[in-house]
Amino acid sequence: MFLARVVGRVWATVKAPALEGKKLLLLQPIDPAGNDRGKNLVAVDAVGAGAGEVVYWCRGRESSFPFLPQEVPTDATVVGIVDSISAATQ
Amino acid sequence: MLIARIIGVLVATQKHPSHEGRKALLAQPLGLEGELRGDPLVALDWVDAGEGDLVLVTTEGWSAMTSVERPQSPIDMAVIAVIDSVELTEPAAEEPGRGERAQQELHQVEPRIGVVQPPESGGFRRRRIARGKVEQPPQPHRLGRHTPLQSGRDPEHQ
Repeated sequence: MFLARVVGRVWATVKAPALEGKKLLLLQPIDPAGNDRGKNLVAVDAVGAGAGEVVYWCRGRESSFPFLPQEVPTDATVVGIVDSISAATQ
Repeated sequence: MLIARIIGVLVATQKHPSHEGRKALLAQPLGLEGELRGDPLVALDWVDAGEGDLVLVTTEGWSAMTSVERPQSPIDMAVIAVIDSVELTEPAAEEPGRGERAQQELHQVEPRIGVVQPPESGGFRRRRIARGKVEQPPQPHRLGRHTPLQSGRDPEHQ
């Protein structure tokens, strides 16, 4: 998984039926300090993330698993909202 | 799999249920000289790794989700081992100063909350071979170099 910031949303009327009702988020990958890294991407939302939030996202075949048994055609999905990054040692 | 150093722990209240009960670790992949290799990544923990640990990260979905015992879940990276040591039998690719610059960069990588511990050493331990006393290890075959076939079925002799 990678860190990213939600920088927008993508709307599409005509889309694969499995994408109906799914929120498409525009992500900007970031480093732990919050600086932009790499290129934007579109990801399906699985946790209810919104604008400006720092999230972590999953890529690949695994990114369609939150929606099982529905087969959603996605290769990137937001799977968590980051509250903070702590350096606590366990 | 990647060699990485743990630089933080993610706190996320709202996340996919399959991630509950597993630490989400922030790991910085490293090259063979201990230099930074790409951006930090988020991996679920299976070995109770902590800040500063050198770990092995699998970046393939099936391995990751089964290793943390969460099959059929959105997990594509997991920390599956704590590395005790890495032994290099050949020097890593030469690029003078790259390791030092990367170490300085690593100090600048700071999570929004908390402090990054400096790495313990500037690179991995390398096997020392005393000159003149030990035979050179066999050189690996390089692509493009002609190597005689073992089976005697060399097409040039047929």
